[in-house]
Amino acid sequence: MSSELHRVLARQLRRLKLHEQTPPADAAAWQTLLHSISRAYDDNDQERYLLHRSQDLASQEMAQLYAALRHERDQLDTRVRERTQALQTSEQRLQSLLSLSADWIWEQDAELRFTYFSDGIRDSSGTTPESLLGTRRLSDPTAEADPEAVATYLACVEARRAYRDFTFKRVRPDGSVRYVRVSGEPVFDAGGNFCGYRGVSRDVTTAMLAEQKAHELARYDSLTGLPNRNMFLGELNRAIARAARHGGEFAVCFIDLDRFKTINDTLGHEAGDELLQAMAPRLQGALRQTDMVARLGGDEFVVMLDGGAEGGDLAAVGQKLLMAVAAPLVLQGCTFLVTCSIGIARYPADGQDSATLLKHADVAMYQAKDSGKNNIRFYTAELADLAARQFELEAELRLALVRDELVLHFQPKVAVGTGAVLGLEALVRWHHPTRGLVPPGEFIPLAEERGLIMPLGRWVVQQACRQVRDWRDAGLQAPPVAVNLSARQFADEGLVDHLIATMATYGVTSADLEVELTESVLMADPDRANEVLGRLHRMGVRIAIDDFGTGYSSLSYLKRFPAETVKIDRSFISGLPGDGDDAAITQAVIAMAHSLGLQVVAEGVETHEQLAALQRLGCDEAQGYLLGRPVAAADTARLLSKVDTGSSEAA
Amino acid sequence: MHIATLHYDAAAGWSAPFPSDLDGPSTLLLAFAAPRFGADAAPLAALAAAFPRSVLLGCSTAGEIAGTQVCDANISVAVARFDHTLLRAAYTPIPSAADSAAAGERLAAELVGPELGAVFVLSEGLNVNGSQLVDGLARRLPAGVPVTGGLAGDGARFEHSWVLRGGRAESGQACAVGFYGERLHVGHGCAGGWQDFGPERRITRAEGNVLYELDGRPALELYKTYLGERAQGLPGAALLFPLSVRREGDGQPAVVRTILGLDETQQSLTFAGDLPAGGLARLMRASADQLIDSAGDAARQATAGLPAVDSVLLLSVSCVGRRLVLGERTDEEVEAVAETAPAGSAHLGLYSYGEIAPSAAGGGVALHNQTMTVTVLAEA
Repeated sequence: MSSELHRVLARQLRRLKLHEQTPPADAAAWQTLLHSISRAYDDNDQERYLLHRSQDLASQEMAQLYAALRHERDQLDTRVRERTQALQTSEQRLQSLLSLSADWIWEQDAELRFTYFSDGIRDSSGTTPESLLGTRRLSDPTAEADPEAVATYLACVEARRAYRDFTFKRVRPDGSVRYVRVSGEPVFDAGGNFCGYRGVSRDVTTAMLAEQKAHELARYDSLTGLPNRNMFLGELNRAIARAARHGGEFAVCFIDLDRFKTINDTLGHEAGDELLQAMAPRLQGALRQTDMVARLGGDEFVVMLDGGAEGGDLAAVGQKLLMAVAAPLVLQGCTFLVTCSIGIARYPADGQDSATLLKHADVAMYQAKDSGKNNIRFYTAELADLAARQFELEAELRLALVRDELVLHFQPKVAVGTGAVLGLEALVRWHHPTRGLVPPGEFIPLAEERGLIMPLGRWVVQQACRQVRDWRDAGLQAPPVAVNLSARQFADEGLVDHLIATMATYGVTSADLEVELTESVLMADPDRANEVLGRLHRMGVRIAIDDFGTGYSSLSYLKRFPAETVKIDRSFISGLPGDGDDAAITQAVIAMAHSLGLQVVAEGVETHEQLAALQRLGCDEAQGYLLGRPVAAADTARLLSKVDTGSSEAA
Repeated sequence: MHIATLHYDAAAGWSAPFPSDLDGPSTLLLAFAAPRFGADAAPLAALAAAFPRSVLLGCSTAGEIAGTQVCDANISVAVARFDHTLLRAAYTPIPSAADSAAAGERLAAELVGPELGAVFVLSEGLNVNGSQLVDGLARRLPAGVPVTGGLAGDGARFEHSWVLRGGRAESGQACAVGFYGERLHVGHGCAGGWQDFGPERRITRAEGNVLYELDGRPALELYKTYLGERAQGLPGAALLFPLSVRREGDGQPAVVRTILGLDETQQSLTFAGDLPAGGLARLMRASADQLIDSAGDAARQATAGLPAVDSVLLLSVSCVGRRLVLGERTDEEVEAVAETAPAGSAHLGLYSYGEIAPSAAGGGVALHNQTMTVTVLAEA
């Protein structure tokens, strides 16, 4: 122990002016010293008290804090374990789903280099992850996509935004094309710094190819491979927009195959389809690269002729199209000559929108048809008027059937030798309430075009039968009445049944009725013709081949059909007796017909010279203005009366 | 520079005749007095009268320091006549604690001038926000001008403090003296000796310098728990546990905050400086030895670089909280300062309710609690 006094005590002595070696002189000084020492002890006690207390309390608090922290740590441990478990489960679920899905997951670093691919890429796209790690998405030179989609995608990436369903194409080393659709979102760290992208991809090759096919189907005609109506209208509208901006001109051609319906109806749809397929390359071959041909439907084609609307040029193109279509065509072993009618409308002169242009080209096409087919017509305002008139006429014709404006006239067929009336040809006439008598040349073709020929034909058969009945009832002896059958009627399955029913209705026999068909009707579907004519023949209905000589068939060919009569076309008769060719043909026809056991009727006899020539050539019967114009039933009745009274006036 | 010190006690009167020959415009007269001399005004009035031309600054204390002694019923006086330094005094009222910052700015505004080398400030010690007063001063004074001083005390009573103005004790006042001149040497030091202990606690509720809750519990309750049987000595006993306070994440060193008073109904404690709500606080404690050692540290900081001169004035401002811990050993920390100073230095000071000095770590001027601060004045 130090021999020096504690510095507190030393200081206390000093303050009290006492000395270490000398005791206090008096009791008071002694007391003061003792109090001073006692206070120092007290101070020390209190300091110790506080020290211990604060140490105890602080260590208690620390212990509590520690316990609380330990509890918190335990809870955190539990939560971490639970979270880890949940994460593992979630990851397993994800992996399991991914393995079942065609999708794959990828990750890119901040430089957009691939750092990860899930295994799906191997199974789905046949690409190994290793070959793509470290590369960037569009760094593959074969990668390709819609430029607009690429721009959108790049803008998203630039802005570090998510993108959805970006589809691009890649060509694999083996040359096969794969389409990949990708969605991704940016990844940021806790500090908000961009770390890259992650997302999901899918091989959509099958879907994309199917989509392309569907797209093609939506734009192309499946039969001919030509653009369809949709695509044509789209192109037409674009052409109009372009021309409107830059002041260009172009033309639209409406092409309709002549008599296609007949071919379709008689040879069957397959032949019709074959014909249409054959026409597509012909039309395309006649056009320039910049032109466009499309099939609108049925036998309607349409052509857009780019660059110019000069009439001469267009006519030249039209002519090429006509010729291309008209080249001989072999269908089902037979050679056919198919023609077409073309209507042309020009932008902007004839219409400034697609609907108007097409309508006007259509109008022009109908005029081409009406003026003899195999023809080109430019749209004009007059044509429009005409079309309008035809439209009107068609409507009126439909009304005419129900308003009894139609009436049958009858033209006699007489024996060349005796002048005796051997038969009557029923010819339909239209008494229009305001137009007066409408010539059959004006409304029959219209009826054929617009599908009115069936009701009209049936009406004719019905009226003819009724008239025979009326004449009979009036005590007149009516000769057989001939009715004309159109190709349409002939193709009608119910034709024979309708004839039987109508005859039964009016109590007329098959001997009272004759049917007349043109060569072309027979030739359109010879098998069907043979079948129908066979039935009629067995019923006892007489059959005549009308307008003979205008088609391409031969008499020997006609032998196949059970006809009784051949009617020589008026074009040959008109040349008699002066035209040597006509006379020779007429003579040959008569001779050959007779050798086949057929009766011969000459049509369109207008002069005594013609009649005399026919008599010399041995023709059996004649028909024409010279021998009797078509007249109403009442006038015909008078003719019959004369016959009935045994008058020799006609002889 | 010429310095004389004297003291007064009621029994013996003035220890020496007034050295009136030192009176002059460059003479600083410092008087640190027991609070009762506010009412018993005659001695101070006589002092003022003896030095009509000098700059008189003074205040009530929680203990007067003179040489190596600490007294509780005296007046300690220093008379320092400067030869090469000009002085200017400034006074301002502090009508309420809320006016503290403005008061600081007012004082600074009066003192700002060419060659301002240092400021020594004394302020009302209770109805003031010392932190804001110092902030106000620092805002207006040029950077680098050291500001030292303290808040007036009222023993361990915390009831009534005063500052001298025109030789009379007045509450709600602050005064300061500015030193102008190139030959003035100013040194300062600041040390606490306190150590943090126990857990760090969140200041969950505080308004200005009133603390309501730590970690969601009443702050007063915590103090009572720690004081145990010494809680009877509140509010003075609270000085035994100052708070080390810091804001989280601002990188600033923690400051020590000591208690000025308490409110049982609010369960709140009023501190000598602001407590940042949301900040962190930790109880502090110190042993007598640590406090005494730190006083020596403060003196060493203040006298470092002091030129060899004959006359040196040491001004110690210590904290009333230290006295409470030191008790019988209070004199020892004063001795520790005096022993560090050059022989022959004049030593004067007070126990205060708040010490003003630049932070030891080289920071700006701040209000401290529970520290010993030492200011050294000399002329080269």
